[in-house]
Amino acid sequence: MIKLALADDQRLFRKGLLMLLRDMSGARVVLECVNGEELLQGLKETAVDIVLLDLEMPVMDGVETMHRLREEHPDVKVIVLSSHEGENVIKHLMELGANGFMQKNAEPDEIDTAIRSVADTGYYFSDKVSNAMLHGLVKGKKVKPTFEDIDPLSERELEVLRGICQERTTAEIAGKLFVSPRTVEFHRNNLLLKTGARNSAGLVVYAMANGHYIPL
Amino acid sequence: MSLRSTDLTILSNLFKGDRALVTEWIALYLEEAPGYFQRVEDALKADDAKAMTFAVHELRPQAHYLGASKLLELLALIGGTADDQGARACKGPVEELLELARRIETELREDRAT
Repeated sequence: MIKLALADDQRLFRKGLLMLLRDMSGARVVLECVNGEELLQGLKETAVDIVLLDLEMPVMDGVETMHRLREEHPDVKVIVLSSHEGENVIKHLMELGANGFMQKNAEPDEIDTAIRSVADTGYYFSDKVSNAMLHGLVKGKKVKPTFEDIDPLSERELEVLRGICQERTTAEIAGKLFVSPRTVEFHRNNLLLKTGARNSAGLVVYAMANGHYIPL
Repeated sequence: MSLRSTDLTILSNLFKGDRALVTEWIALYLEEAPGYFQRVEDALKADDAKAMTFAVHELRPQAHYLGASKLLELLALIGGTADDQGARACKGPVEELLELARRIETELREDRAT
């Protein structure tokens, strides 16, 4: 069961999302909060897998909350919800370590896909997010340089990286490469160390920035 | 025959045809929406472009769920105008928005009554 937390100060939106998620099999909202401070307080007592996090909240907004989540609950994944859709906003959020981004008017199918994708693979990239990152790269805009000079990636590491970019689960990557899931995780950890990325989303950004993956 | 300002098929599809959920959401909207529109009006009075942009951004998902295309258009217009020219430049569209909001509210209440 995927345990979800919702953090959004808009009661109408929050309750609407709760109503949508009631029907989602395999997931349950276990924590509902109106701002980041309440969320962090709630996470002390309630185990959560994924937070659906609004950006603009009083008391503690989404950006500050994300910083705190990365420090205090690094295992909790974050899908940012926003009415904004600017490329710079999206890129900034991914650089902060968001595992996914979704607009607040997303259809139920996308919400379902995003949650399951983040639970399975560690990230969710809609077309809008992929395009935002590609657009930024093509226009020569700076992608935050979290990537230091690195050892070259091995062929196997590149294969795992491409599998991650293709949103494959660990098990799927393992099956494709005829290795064990543990080996895939081993290579994934090496990728994180070598690239300086903080999570799978960062690996995807690295892959796109360095031409190892171009989305269709 | 007057044209509707909302298209509730979107909401119905969102909740997979569950009429109880649609009714529940509409009740919530009728309770909460006046506050959102009030914030737009307050931002106009205070000549606060940032507050206005924020307020219209917050309304967009609800406008989408209601299938209120005219409402969505006005919200986009107001957001863009507030960003470019300041809140006072949005006076006309905001007045139109508030009038539309009242029509939507009436429409939804009439739907509930039938």
